[in-house]
Amino acid sequence: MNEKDFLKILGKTDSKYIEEASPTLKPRKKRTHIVWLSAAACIGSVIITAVAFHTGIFYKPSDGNIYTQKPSVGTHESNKTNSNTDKTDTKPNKDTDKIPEQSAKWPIKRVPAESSAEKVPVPKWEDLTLAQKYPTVQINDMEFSGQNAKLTKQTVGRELADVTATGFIGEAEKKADATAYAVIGIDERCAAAIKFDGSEEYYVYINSYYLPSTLGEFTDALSLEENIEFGAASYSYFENGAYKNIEFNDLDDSVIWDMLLSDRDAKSIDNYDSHDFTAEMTVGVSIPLLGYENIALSVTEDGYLITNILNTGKAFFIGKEKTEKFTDYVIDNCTGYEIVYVSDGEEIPE
Amino acid sequence: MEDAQIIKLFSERDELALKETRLKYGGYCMIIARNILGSEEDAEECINDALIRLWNAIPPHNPKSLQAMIGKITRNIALNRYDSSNAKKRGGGQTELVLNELTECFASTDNTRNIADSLDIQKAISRFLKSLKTQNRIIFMQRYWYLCSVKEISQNLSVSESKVKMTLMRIRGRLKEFLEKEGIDI
Repeated sequence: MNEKDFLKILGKTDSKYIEEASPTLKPRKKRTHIVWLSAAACIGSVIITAVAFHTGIFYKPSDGNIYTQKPSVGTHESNKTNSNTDKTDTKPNKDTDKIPEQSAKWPIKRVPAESSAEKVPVPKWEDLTLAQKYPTVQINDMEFSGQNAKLTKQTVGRELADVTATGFIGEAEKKADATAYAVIGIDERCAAAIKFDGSEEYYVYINSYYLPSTLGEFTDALSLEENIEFGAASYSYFENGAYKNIEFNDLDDSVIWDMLLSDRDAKSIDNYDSHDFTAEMTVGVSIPLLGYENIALSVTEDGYLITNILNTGKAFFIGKEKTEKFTDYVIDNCTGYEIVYVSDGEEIPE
Repeated sequence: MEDAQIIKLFSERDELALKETRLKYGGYCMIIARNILGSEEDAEECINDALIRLWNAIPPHNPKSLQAMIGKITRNIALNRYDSSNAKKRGGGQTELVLNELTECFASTDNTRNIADSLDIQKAISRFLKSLKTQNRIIFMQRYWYLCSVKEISQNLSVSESKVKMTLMRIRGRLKEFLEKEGIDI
């Protein structure tokens, strides 16, 4: 018996001892950075949920007060006039290093609040897809996780290996035989197509632990130039006791490529979880081939490009100058709306 | 809501059961998964997975303790997730530290595959736990079942960190002796 065996055996110990030792629950400070949404989280929620994000930055300016977010936005004159907004006059000034007395005034867009994951019906085992029933598979000693997405036969490449996929009903492990194939245009270390014995469908499985060394390696591994789609950019700041969420809809793809994704040598960090990244500006991204819809590509104030593509956080240092320039560009050149969520006609405070 | 009512909702396939379980035990499960994985995001995924497994397990199961059942499921999922090489590489919360502490008790051999299924060993460990004084058992369980840090345990029980460390060291010694005496291959 080794120490891991012991931990597992101890896991099956009497319930009374588990309850007896239940640790004290301590409330944690609300985290205000990107909440990653993984494939695993999707298993129970059939809906595709946008990655929820808050962009909070704690800082302590010279007045000694700690603010939740520095409203760091551009200071130079707007290059684009928007008849609906008066951004140049009203946007916060980052050089003052203080919360502005006058808030940014963006036109308000009221949108219905999305139903939360808690309200989503959880399907019965028999109603789950094969990828949901058997969410884990080992291919060449790498663990891949099932996405709730299917591939067409045209996007499936060479055969990689015969595999056994595993899943659980309660605590009982279930297994299913399958064949793993490459996905055309995707590095075999990143994703695979899984075809279960007796089924004609190909499911996308993702290696969440793939870690590229550079941004160029990452974009090549996923053929992002062909596969990625960009959505709205989002920015939020704290004002008068509430978060203001601003959405920009007309950001050109070429700007993202030029300003954020062009530095192919930008190094990836290998200890993402030990950093406390806070996104300053986030662009929604989709990779339909791999089943991703509206996940996040963000810049941080301290110069990182971060994303949750492939389910786990990845960060590339592209430099503070670039991330600031991008944020300023979006604020100055794109049409923004303050997003206010409403439910049954009532506004939901952030 | 009382556990019995929640279990009844599960039996009736009412999805309110999931909401109530998350409401009541979400924080509890978060502690378990976060202690093992060291990441709040990974822990949240474990909780979602645990709820699905619970949904598929009740019925037919009718647990005596819903808290213990969701806790066990969450812990299993988190430990399995930790087993992936990258989770280890990233530090994995308290898991690496706990495993290192336990190496002094075990030979770290894997010659006993499927050992977790051994009912005899489970029973022996239950006897060992029963033999401990209540506070010592709580300290031991908080460290090796919940994978709480020494600091958290000291705060939970209002005792010094040095006392927690000393107690754990003594219990590990007793555990090794106990398992050897029971003829369990370690």
